[in-house]
Amino acid sequence: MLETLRRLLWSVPFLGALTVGLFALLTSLETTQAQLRAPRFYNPSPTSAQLAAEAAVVGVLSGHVEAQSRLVALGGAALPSILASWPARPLPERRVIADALWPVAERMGLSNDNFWLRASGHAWADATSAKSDEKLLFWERYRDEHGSDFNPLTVQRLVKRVATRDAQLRKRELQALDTYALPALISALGRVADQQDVERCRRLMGYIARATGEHFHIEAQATVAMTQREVTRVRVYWDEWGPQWTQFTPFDRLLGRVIQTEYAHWLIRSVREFSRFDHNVQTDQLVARLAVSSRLLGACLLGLVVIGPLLSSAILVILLGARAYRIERIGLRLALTAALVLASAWTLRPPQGSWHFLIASAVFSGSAFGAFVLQRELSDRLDWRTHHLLRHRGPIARVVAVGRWIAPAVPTLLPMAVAPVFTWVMCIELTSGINGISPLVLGAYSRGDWTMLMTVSLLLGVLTLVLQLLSDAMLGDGNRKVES
Amino acid sequence: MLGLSTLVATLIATAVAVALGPILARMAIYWLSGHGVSNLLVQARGLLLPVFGVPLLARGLHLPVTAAIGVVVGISQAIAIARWGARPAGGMDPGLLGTLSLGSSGAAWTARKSLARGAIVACLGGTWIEVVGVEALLTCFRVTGLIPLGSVGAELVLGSVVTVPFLVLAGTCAIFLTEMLGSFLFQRRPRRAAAPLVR
Repeated sequence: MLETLRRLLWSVPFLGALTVGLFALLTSLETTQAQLRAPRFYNPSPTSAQLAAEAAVVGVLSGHVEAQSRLVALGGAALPSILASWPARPLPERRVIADALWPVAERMGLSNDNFWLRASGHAWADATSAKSDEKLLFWERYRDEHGSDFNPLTVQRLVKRVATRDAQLRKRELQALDTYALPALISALGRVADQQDVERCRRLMGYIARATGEHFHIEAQATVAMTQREVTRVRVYWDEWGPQWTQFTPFDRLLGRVIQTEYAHWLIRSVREFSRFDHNVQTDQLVARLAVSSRLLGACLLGLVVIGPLLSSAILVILLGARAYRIERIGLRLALTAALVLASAWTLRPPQGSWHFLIASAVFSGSAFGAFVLQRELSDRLDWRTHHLLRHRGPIARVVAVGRWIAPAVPTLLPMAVAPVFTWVMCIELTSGINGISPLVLGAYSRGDWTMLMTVSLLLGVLTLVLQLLSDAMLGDGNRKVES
Repeated sequence: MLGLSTLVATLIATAVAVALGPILARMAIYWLSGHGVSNLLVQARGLLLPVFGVPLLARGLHLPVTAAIGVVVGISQAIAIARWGARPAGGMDPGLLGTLSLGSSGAAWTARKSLARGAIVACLGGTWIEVVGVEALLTCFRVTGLIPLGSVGAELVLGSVVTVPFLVLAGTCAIFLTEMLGSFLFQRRPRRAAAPLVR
């Protein structure tokens, strides 16, 4: 028991190390490389709101049009660093930046009814007709009014209040912070478990959609599952684009070298899905397909672990009582080899017929492989001396002898059978047109969807691990009995 | 020629498995109380399907598809050999452990002396089947430049001239020959007497 527990604990770092290798290999495939958006394991230049804002401002001052739209996309998240350096900038620069930032003011909803300007007698009828001086004045006043709002605690409190109830005043305050509030908004989405969570997420989703410019939306009659899917979509988007709107400390930026990578994104997403925080449509699809494939997988494993050993044991028990043991053993070996080849032929060109034929084909393949390996192993152990001894004993003695020898071999075979068995099942599915897991893997491979390939591979790895633990526990028990 | 590609891949896989398997088995017995490495290897074998490994190897090392199939299947078979060689029943053989601890070179090839010799030979025998399976899957995946033309697996999937009797005959011959080779390589030899500690 302790040994199994120790192995179970070791399996976590083992699997972690293996996922690194697996990720490196799968993302090296030609089809998957095109889908990578970030560096794989190490990001030499992680982004942050501060860095993105600095780069955008430099671009705007140099007169680049793309930089202006970039600054608008950054929005409120760029303001803390821009407003901090505002007084130190010469007037022409301030004027250019104020002009470039004007669409942000419109998105905040402040430019249309800017109470500061009206209060100071500078109101205008149409926001688009604002002059450069007025825009500059607007941002000067904005800095005075909202400069202190740009801190995480204030934003978190504001988001918390907005999440709990619809409050128009809070809504305006939150809109005035624009994208600066995005990290707190995303964090406040949380887990979606009941209708109250749906309401909360719907309230927050409007702000997120407005700030990011993406079409995130939760319908009025949305169910929990629909909301979970939309929230997952937002979080996946945030994993990729979120750092540009997040204020990072120097330590965070150091961490960003590892976190802003494809592997870290995948790991974070996997943990969220595993803890039922996220709800991915692909996972549902995978589970449904796995249910179809599990019948074939189960049939193949059943043949390999149960029917194969029984078959090889029965044949050997009969053979051990025969006189011409050597000749019959060679004949049996040839027959088993032919059966194995026939099984593989049926796997690759399965008989056209009902689902039962395919199941029978899978059982036959597994049995043939199991019997092939175990018979060879047994016949190697039970050599001519054993045969000579057992021939004069009764059938029960022969059954006990064969059973005792075959017992430790079956658990050893079990975890190693996962890879070939899955290959056969894939062959059966792809050649017979069954809508199991294999067409999904094939589609993922063609599209370069490495996350799906990782998930399938990890499932196989976990299955191998479980079978390995099971087999080692069985072998450990056997050894203790031998020792006692 | 039909089947030649499969035969070449099987030969390469057998060579890789025979060369690598005993080394991995020996490593598995020496390291981490006997089975840590073999456990890790078996998990790695379960994780990465050969059908993903072949394109990587073919592209990364600029190998022909047939050679890539051979190497990938060979590594997979080597891990199976290592597991059988280092499994608890084999690893706990007191004579074997004693010889290993004395550093006697006669015990270097763990697999040769382990209790799972028959299974190791059977693993080698199953190489042809593995190769055909990988060829078939690669054909199903229809990756440009990676369909091993003229191979048994590809022909079976594409539904061309290969008939089942021909396949059974060719496959049985290939497996039987590989088994004979494995049986010869891993044959049980009388253990050398341990050298006296004091002459």
